[in-house]
Order: sequence, then C-alpha cells, then structure tokens
Amino acid sequence: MKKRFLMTICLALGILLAGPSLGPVGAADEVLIGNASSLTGTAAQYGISTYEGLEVAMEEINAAGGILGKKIRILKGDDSGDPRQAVNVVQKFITKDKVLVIIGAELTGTTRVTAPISNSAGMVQFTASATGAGLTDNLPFMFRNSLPEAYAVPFVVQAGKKKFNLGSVVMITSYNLDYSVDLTKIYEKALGAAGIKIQDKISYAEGDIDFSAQVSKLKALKPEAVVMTGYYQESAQLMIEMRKQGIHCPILGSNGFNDPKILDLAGKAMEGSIWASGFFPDNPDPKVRKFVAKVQEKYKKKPNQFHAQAYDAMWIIAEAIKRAGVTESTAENRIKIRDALARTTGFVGVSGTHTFKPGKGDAEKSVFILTLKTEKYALLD
Amino acid sequence: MLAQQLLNGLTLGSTYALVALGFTLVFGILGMINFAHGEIFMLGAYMALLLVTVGKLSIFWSLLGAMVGTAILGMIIERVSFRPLRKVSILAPLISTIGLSIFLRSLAQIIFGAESTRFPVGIKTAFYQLGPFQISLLQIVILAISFSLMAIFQIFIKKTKIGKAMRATSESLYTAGLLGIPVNRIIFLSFAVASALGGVAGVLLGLNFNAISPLMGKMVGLKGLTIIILGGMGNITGAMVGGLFLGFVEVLSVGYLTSSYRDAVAFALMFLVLLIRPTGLFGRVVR
Repeated sequence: MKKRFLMTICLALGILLAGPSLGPVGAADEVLIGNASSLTGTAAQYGISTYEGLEVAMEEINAAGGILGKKIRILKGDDSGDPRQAVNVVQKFITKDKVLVIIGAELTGTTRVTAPISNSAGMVQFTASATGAGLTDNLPFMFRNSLPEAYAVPFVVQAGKKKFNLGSVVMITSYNLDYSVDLTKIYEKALGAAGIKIQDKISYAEGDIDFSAQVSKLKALKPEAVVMTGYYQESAQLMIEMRKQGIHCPILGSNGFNDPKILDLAGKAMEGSIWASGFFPDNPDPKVRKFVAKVQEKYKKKPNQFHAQAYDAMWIIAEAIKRAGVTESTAENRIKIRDALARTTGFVGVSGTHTFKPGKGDAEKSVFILTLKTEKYALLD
Repeated sequence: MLAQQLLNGLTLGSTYALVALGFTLVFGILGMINFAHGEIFMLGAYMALLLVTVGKLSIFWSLLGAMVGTAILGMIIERVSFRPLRKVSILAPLISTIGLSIFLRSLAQIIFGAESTRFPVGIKTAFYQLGPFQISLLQIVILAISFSLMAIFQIFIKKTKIGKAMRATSESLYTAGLLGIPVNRIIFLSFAVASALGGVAGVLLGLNFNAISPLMGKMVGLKGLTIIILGGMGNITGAMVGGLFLGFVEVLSVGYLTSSYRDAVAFALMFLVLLIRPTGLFGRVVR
C-alpha cells in the first residue's frame, strides 16, 4: 500500500516535471525573448530590477502592436547568480525554448560563461547589466548597453582628481568576486593614467559580515580616498564601519552604488562617494520622467540603472528585430538580427544615447557622475 | 592599531562564542549536530528587527523577545527534526537539520527579501577613549551582554537543578533516564537554551554591523561548528575560548597579513591545534 502511494507520488512528480519540457514553448504569433537573470540569491535585486525594466518596455511595445504584428513574450530563467546554473538556463533557451534573442546574463561572472555558448549557437545575447572587462570581445553575437567599468571608471577617476585633488588612494577588493577583481584592475589602470598612487590594497570575501578589522587597518593608513569595487551590500557595510571608526574620506565607487538599496543600507555613511552611472533618475528629460513615473506606478519603487538599461535594451532589440524583418528563430534569421542590432546608431533611450561601433559589442553611451547630497542621489558639480 | 584590532576581535569573538555555546550544548547532550543553528542565529536577528521596526519596542525588549522567539523555534526544531529521528540513526537528524536550514534560509529570503536589511541601531554612537582603545558604547553593550550571558550560562549549567540534569544527560542519556531524569524534557529545554543563545548572538551581530541578511547564518553556522571542534566537542569552556580564539585570529590576520588569507589562516591554525590535540583544546579522550 505504502509502496503504491510512493509510486503515485513519483509518477505525479514526474509528470509535473516533464510537462513543460515537451518542445518549444513559443506560439507562432509570439516573439520569444529569454531573460537569463539572477532572480534569487545575493544578486536578486539586480535581476528583479532588470526584469521589471524589460516588462515595462515589453508592455509598451505590445500595446503599440508588437513587433511585425507579433507580441513579445519574455521567458524568465533564474540562475541565482551562479555561473553553473546560468549555463543551464542559456542552454535551455537555445535548445529547448528556441528563443529569438537572449537578454542577460545579469552579472559579469554569469555573462562570461554564457556569452561563448550563445555565440557559438549563433544567438544574440544582450546584457543590460554586466559591466566586467572584455565581455563582448571576439564574440560577434554578444552585445551590451550597460556601462562597462573600463569605459566609466576613467570618468570617475578624473572627476575625483578634480574634485578632491587626490594624490593617492587605498583600494578595497572582494577577492573572491569576479566583478570586484576585474574592477580593481580597471581602477589600477585608470589611476595610473591619472597619476594617482595606490597607497595600499585591502580585501574581504563575499558574504563577510564583519569589516571591523579591514577598517581598523584602513584607519591606520590615513587614506586620502578609498576605492570600493564590491557589490552594494558589502560596500554599504564598509561605509557604515568606516564612518563608525571615524574615517570620513571620499569614496570612489562602482556600478553597485547605483542601486538605491545601498542608500537604504548606508544612509548618511554614503556621503562623500562618487561613481559613474548610465542613468540618473532625477533627470528632467521628459522621456526619463515618463519612464520613472511608469515604474513607480507599476512596481511602487523608483527605477534604478538596471531598470533603465533593461528598458532600453528591450527597445533596441525590438527595433533591430523590426529592421531585420524576421521573427522566427532560425540560424539565418538570427544572423540578420545580429547585423541589424550591430547597426544601431544614435538610439536615444532613458539611459542616454546608444551607438554600436563596427566590430564592437559594447554600446558607446553617455556617462553621468553621481554623488550623494543630503541623502539623495545628485549630479556631481 | 593593535589595540583596536584586539577590541574588534573580542567583539566578534564573543558573538562567535555565543553561537558555539548553543552548538556545543546540543552536541554535548545528544551527540548530534544541529545544522540549522546558523539559521536560528539569522532568524533571531530578524525577529529583533521586526520587534524594533513593526513592534516599536526598544532594543532591550526586542532582544528579550528575539530570545524567547528563538527558544520557541529551537523547541519546534527539536520536536520536528530531532525527536522523531533520534532513534533511527545518527545521520537522520543531521540530514533533517541540513534540510531545515535550507528551508529556513529560503523562507527568510521570501519573507524579508534576499538583500541585506539595515538594522536600526537604537544605541547612540558615542566613543570612549580608554588608553589605546577607542571603544563605542555599542561595543560595550555587546561585550557586556555576551559576557554576562556566558557567565549566567556557566552558573546555570553548574549550579541549577536543570543544568545538572543537562550535564547528567550529556554523560549518558540512558543512565540519566534510569536515574529518573526526564530526558526528553531536558533535551527539549537544552534546544530552547541553545537557540536563545544563538538568537541573541544574531541580534548582537546585527547591532554591531547595522545590517542583517538571510544568508548570514550560513557562514556563522560553519564557523560555530569549527569552533566546537577546536574547543572540544560538547565542551562549554572550549566553545567560549574557541569562539574568542577564532575572533582574534580572523581579525589579526586581516590586520597584519593579506585579508584574502583570513579564512585560510584561521582554518590552518585550527588544523594545527587539532594535530597537536586531536580532541580539541578542552576535549576529553573518549575511551
């Protein structure tokens, strides 16, 4: 009796699990776009924001009649920010779901491992968030409209040099985080070019909760300024601890500083930070105001850079598909879409103007230098 | 800088020690590891957060509330994950607590979100200069609470009737039962005490670092486990000394070596200690 019951359960589970795997999920009147993203895990905040941005753009495009008369549908694929899972998600999109374009992955680490897979399958992959160095190099099917750190960091260093008259900095790195290690190298190069010395380097590990030792060490160094290269959680913790131990020097930050969550966590401790952004939510541009209002109404939150870039990415892709004039996911069609996408010039989105130069997958776009004023994001004077 | 680092180590170590005490208490009595202990630590912090933000209670009452809450949680865990499996095999409760720990962590992620949450301080950030030490009021409060809890726990386990019964049970479950000790109730209680200590540690850590996250129990749980191996499995003094030891080693290796080697240094030192004393610092040789 018990055995039979177990068998039934196994069978039921089997059916449940096997159900959705029968062939591609797309209907003929849909444009299927896969979003490989970190919807759970430590980077969930980024992934959720990106998805929301995509959704807003999708609704606008579909409301205006879709692409070539077909409605867009986004397939969610959660990789938890884990490169191994990201590989599975992207492979599923390519082989099983047969999507037209993949948007993602969310992070530098997950994008680095998935981009070559999409590329060899001849499928366009477009990340609206990953900013690590060289992610699109030698991969003709890989694109991004995020602000690559290598592009943005020199602007931050120059702004810091001008504003704070810096002679040296102390670098803080999360030594087991791809993103942070990459960014540290980029900063080293930009600092070198600007003639700013690196006084010392301090590191911590992902998931650390205690930063008191690092900060005491930092305090003894009496830094002119600090460069933080980690994600927002650890950066916020470091700021709080720094201010607690009485270090009030400026902080040159990373892309993670664009997530308003860092402000929620760090509050006043964030004052004195500067960083680059592809999006400024208080921008008076009517296009930006309209977008901000839409996100605020739909999700009850203020959009961040991830929302904005994802929104722009969806529009850039939609226009490219329209220009290519194809919606079925065949090898030739996907090449047409790639070529159309690569010819995007002067696309004006909510995160600035985008242009793809020949042979480059990174969009050239505007950079805003932001800081914190009375606990609000503001443009640096 | 050394003085400041020692103080950092003491604060961190005292939190570790509280976590390890809970671990070692359960191990001492049952000979089993409660892998969900790290999650109790995390949930303690979230309970206090809710009491402060939603319940509008002072941090003192929130701390007490979190203690009671985690004690109840501990008792539920004992009932659900340990008692039904205790007699089956030694591995069954181990696996069930691993499952429970994943469940609690995911549950916390669903309820509170995956990201860190700011922990309201409630204690003003005043600093005092004591010789070479710059100590904050917050650190004083944390040290006072953790060391007095450790002292109270020592008295409880050595002098009170229940404490004695716990020690007897840890000597031999069977014999204690024969001698008329209500073994099941004692195990139940020790889970409550162990979890309350873990919960307090979570609140103190949240207070100290201003932020808590659903994932913070994972590493702390692992460290707690390492500490009790270092201190001697089931040994109470060992857990406290081991906790402080780990706190100091971590902080000093960050301060004077490369921070990237912190965990490597901490774990290598533990390995060395165990090579010299395989039973741990305070462990007894089991014949």
